[in-house]
Amino acid sequence: MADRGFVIDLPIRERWQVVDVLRTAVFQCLAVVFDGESFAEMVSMVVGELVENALKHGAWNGDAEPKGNEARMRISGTRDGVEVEVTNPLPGGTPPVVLFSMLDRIRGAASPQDAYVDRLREVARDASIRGGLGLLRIAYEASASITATVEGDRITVRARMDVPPEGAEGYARH
Amino acid sequence: MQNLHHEGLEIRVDLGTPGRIGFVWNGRATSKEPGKVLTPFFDRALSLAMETGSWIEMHFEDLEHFNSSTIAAVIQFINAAHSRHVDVVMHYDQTQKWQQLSFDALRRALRPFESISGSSIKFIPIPPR
Repeated sequence: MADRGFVIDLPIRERWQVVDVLRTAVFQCLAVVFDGESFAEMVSMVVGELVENALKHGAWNGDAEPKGNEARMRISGTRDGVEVEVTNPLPGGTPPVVLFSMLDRIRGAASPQDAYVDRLREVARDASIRGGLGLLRIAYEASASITATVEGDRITVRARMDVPPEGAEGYARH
Repeated sequence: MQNLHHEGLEIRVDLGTPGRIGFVWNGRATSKEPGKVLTPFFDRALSLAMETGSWIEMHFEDLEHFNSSTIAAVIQFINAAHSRHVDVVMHYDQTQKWQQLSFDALRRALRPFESISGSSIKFIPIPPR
């Protein structure tokens, strides 16, 4: 098996423009490590969605630096693929209910695509619905296994993606 | 209608064919709140389509990336078009894995809408080049 060991570990600051820069940089780095561009593209999409969530729902209070604990993004090469980990402080007294309900949906659905499609229908019918689509998207499009842990006032979301077998085209489980 | 430029996204308006309002997406749709810009833009498009009896054609083939917030704005637009009886045709590039996956899911999500009276929604993948 090829050596794909690497770590990218960066602090996150509350600047929305950073998301696209990070996403593009991750794509370029991973396109060097993995054959073909599709896997690098999927991982960079995951990075974009998770960092967007951290910026939208984290405790920033209008500042570039998070309040309390720092926010970080860590991407590491594993034996079978890649793990993306995004940590950010939570606003006080607001548990991430939507996030955990989306993880429950993924577990309870017949497939990640089913969970994503159901959420798309909800969002289509009700423009006031906020949140959750990005997590379901990465579970479906990137075939990512997602977990989240809360420690004190910090949340860490992890997405693990396996590199598809050589020559395989698809990443999504339908 | 004027072309839309917002952050890294451009949507070019094509009114060159009678009965058809075309939108060609380019660049990257990564806005934090794309609905604030896209919803009024699409509302104008739907009003124009209803006034002129036109259908709306969206071209995503050259789009590099869209975030989930933009996907939400797009599916809400399609829902609005359906309820206002405006036909929509979506062109995408199925040779790009991310577009194939995104539009497969959108197409599946909108399938129940097709059985309810309203407009037609078509998804047309461009063939491999």
